[in-house]
Amino acid sequence: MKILIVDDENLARQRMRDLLSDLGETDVVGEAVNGSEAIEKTVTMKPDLILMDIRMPVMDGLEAAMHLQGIENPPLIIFTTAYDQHALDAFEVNAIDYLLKPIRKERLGAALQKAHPVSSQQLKEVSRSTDSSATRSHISVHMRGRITLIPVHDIIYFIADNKYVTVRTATEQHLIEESLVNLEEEFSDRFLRIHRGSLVNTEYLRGMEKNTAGHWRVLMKGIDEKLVVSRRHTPQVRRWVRR
Amino acid sequence: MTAVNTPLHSAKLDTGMSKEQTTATDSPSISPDYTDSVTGAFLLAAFLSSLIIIAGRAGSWDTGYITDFVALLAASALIALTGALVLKIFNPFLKSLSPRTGLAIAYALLMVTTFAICYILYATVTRHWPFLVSSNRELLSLLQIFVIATVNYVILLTMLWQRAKTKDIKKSFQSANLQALQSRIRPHFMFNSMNSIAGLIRNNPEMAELALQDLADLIRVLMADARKLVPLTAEIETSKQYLKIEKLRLGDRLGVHWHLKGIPKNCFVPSLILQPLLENAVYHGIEPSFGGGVIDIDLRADSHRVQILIRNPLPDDGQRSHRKGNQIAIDNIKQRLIRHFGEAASLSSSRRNEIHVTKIIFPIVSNR
Repeated sequence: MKILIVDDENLARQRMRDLLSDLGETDVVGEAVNGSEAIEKTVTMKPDLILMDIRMPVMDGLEAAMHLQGIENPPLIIFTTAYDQHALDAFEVNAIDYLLKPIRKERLGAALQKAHPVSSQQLKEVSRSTDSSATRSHISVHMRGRITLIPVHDIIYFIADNKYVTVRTATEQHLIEESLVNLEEEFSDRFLRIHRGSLVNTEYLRGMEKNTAGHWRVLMKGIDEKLVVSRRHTPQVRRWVRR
Repeated sequence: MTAVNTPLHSAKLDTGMSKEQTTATDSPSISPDYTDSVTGAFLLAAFLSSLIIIAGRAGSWDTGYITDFVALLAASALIALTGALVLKIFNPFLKSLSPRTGLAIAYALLMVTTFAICYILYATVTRHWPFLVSSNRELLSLLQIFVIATVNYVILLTMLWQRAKTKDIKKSFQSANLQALQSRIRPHFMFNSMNSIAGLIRNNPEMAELALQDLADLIRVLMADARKLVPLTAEIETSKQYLKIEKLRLGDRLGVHWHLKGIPKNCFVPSLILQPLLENAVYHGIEPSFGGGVIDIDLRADSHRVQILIRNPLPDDGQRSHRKGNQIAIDNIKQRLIRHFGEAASLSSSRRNEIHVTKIIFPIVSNR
C-alpha cells in the first residue's frame, strides 16, 4: 500500500514512519507538511492512503481532504489528531477513520485494515460541526487529474456565468462549478455582492465611478477591469468603498 | 529548576477566600450555617427593638420607664442568647437535614425555646399571665410574643439561608475561575508533546528524557494553585521549559530570542503571568504560519519596576483563520496582576506591521 504522511510536526511524521515500518508497511511514498502540499503530492505520487493531521498551517487536513474528493480515485484518508473534541464527535457520527495522538501501534494497524473511503458530504458535516464559521482557505480547480489551488485571499472576484463561476486573481482566471449563492454564504466575511452575478473581495475594493450611461462600477486593485454594480447593491457597495 | 521543585514561598492573596474554601469543603450541598456569628446579635437587636415598640404602643411610658426597659432588655437578651445557643447545639443535626426541613425544625426549636423562657420567667419572676409584667403593669400578651418571635425568626432564618446561598455562589465562582485557568493548558499542546516524546524514545532517548522532565515540571506548575506567588526567576524558568517543548514539536519554525537585562532577584509575581502569554504567541503567531517565526522576549528592570515585552509575528492574512480565543487567558492574567499589584501593574497589547506586541509591567515586590 502506498502511503503519504501529512503532519506539520517533524517528530510526528517520524513516529508515524516508525510505527508503519513496525507494522510492515514500508511503502511510504512521501511526506507533506500541510494540506496544500498534501494535495500536490497526492496528485504526483498517487498514494492509496493518506495519514493526515487535522490542524496544520496554510490548509488544514479537513479542507485538504475535501479538495481531494474532486480527483479521480481519491485515496483513503485516516485523520490523526491530538485533540479536537468537536471534530472527534463528528468523526464518530459520520464514521470517518481517525487516530488519536499519541498514536498506538495496534490502533494504527487496525485502522489500516479497515480504512474506507469518505465522501465530501461526510467531510462537510465534520467541518460544519467543528467550527460554524469554517471556510475554505483555498478554492480548488480540477482539470484533467490536476488540482490547482487558489488561495481565497488572492481572489479578486467571482462572476457567475451560466453553469460556471469565473474566479479571478491578479494573474489568473479559472472556471469552477460552484454556485455563487454558496460562495457568498461561505465567504460572507470578506466578499461582497455587487450584482446578481458577482461577488468581490472587499480587500481589493479601490473605488467607484459612474460611467456616461449613469451606471456605477467598482475599481479593483490588481486589475483594470471595472465591474458593474447593480442599483440594488449600490448603497452597500458605497458604504464599503467609503470605509 | 530548583525554584520549581522546592516548595515555593507562597502567600495567599486573599485570606478571606481561603477561609471560605475550607469551611465549604465539609458541606457538599448548600446548607445554612446556624452557628453564623450574626445569629446572637441579630436576635438581641430584633427582640429588644420589637418588644420595646410593641410594649411602648400598648401603654404609656410615663411611669416606671426604667424598670420596664430593664425587664424588656433582660427578656430580649435571654431569648436571643438562648436561641443562638440552641441553634449552635443543634447545628450538626440541622445541617444533616435537607435545607427545607432544617429551617423548619430550626424555627420550631426557636419557638419552643422562646415559650420555655417565657414560662420560666412566669414561674420564677412574674407569676402572672400574660407574660412580662414589670413592677406595676402588663406589657405584652402571649399572642404578641408569638407574633414577634415568628417574625424575628423567619427573618433570621431567611438571612442565614441567603448567606449560605451567596457563599455557595462565591465558591462555585472560585472553582470555575480555577478551572478556567487550568483548562488553559491546551490539550492539543499536551497530547502533541506526548506524541513527540513517544517518537523520540526510540530515536533519541536522551532528548526524550529531557523533554519528559520539562513537560512534567510544566504540568506541575500548571496544576499548582494559581494564586501562589513565585519568584520571577521561576516564572521565567517555566516559560523557557514550555518553549523548549514547543521547539521540539515545531523545530525550525519556532525561534526564540530572550533578552534579559538584570532580572531582579527578590521579585515575586503571581504564578503563570508570563508562560500563557508565550503560549498565545506560539498559538497565534507561530503554529498557523507556514514558515514560523521568532518570538522575542525582552525584559528590563530598574530598581522598582519590571517591564516585559513579548513580540511575535502574525501569519499572513490567508493563514489566520481557525485561531481565536486568547482573551480568557489575557483577562485572567490582567485580573491577577491587578489583584496583586493594584494599579501599578498593567498588561496591554498592540499590533504594528504584522508584529504583535504584548507589554506587561509590574512593580518589584519582594515576598519578605
